[in-house]
Amino acid sequence: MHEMGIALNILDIVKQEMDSYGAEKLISICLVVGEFTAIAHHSLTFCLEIITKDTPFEGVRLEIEQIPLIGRCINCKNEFAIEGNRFICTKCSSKAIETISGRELFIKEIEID
Amino acid sequence: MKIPVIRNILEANDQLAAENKSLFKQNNLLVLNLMSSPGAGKTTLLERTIDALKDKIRIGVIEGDIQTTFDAERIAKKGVATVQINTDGACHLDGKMIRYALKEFDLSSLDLLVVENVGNLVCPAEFEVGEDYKIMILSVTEGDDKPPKYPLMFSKSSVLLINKIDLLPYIDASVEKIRRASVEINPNLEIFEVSCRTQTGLDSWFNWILQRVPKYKTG
Ligand SMILES: Nc1nc2c(ncn2[C@@H]2O[C@H](COP(=O)(O)OP(=O)(O)OP(=O)(O)O)[C@@H](O)[C@H]2O)c(=O)[nH]1
Ligand SMILES: [Mg+2]
Ligand SMILES: [Zn+2]
Repeated sequence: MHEMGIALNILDIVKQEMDSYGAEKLISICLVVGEFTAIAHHSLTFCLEIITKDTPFEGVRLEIEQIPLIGRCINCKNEFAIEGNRFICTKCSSKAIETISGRELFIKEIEID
Repeated sequence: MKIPVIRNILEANDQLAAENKSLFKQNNLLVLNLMSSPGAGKTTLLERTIDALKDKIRIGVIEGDIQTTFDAERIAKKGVATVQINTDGACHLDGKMIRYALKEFDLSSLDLLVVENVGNLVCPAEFEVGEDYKIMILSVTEGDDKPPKYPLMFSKSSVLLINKIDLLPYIDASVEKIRRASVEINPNLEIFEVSCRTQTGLDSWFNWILQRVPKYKTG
């Protein structure tokens, strides 16, 4: 699954950031992951464990903040949680919905020593 | 010490995809990213599409598979430029693999490049390769409950081809149900009902492509 590639990307970015701070010990990584992404959290945690084993990063803690899928109706401006993949306004039934959150996939912060 | 980072995890891929895209634009190329679960009919659709359009436009194909060159061999038989990418386990193609494959093409001599992604209804939707449009196939034999189960691909695609409709008499899938659930996720989705076996419904698909090929759009 592609969680392995994502874990490698995360580690690349984290290494760059650590270098720029001259940091040596990595304690934790905090990610923000939208509900509407194809990322399995446990699988990502597992991949990160594998690729950091026997490296200075072994034992790094992964925290994941999940962001709910929220839509905004272009017609009536109603903001609502999209449930069961129904991209339909809960007030006016319009189908013109923009996704305002739920597709995030970024590193928010890291904890270093 | 906690330090803020705020960096998109896919930034490296998005960057490469953007570079691919500008290369495609420079060469006046229409690029389609073709996705579906294994066996829904991607390669068969490509064979039909090449047969129908190869006298009108110049076509190139990138075949993505975990292993083997079966699909590239099928396409190469049609006499179009073909490159096979073996992902060696990866469940999707990404911007870097496409960049690599592009070295094998003379892009200025093509009008249409189709990327057949690895058979998988989940992961390919997450990775841009620099395409103009994402095209997905759902075959009726996969069942009519698939849109809400795999919403990301339905939401990111511009076209849904519902394939293998020749088999409808033998199964209990409802095309209406697939349509309804798909537009609930993505109201802008264009839907074609086709059979690559009997060639039903394919003309609208061919026209959809021709209308978007830069050479035809302007000429
Ligand atoms: N009955 C029927 N069979 C079809 C149709 N389209 C494709 N097939 C068959 O479905 C099988 C799989 O088709 P492919 O085109 O190889 O599928 P694919 O999506 O490229 O498969 P992968 O690349 O392995 O993911 C083949 O045996 C095709 O002949 C159709 O419209 N009707
Ligand atoms: Mg194929
Ligand atoms: Zn509304």
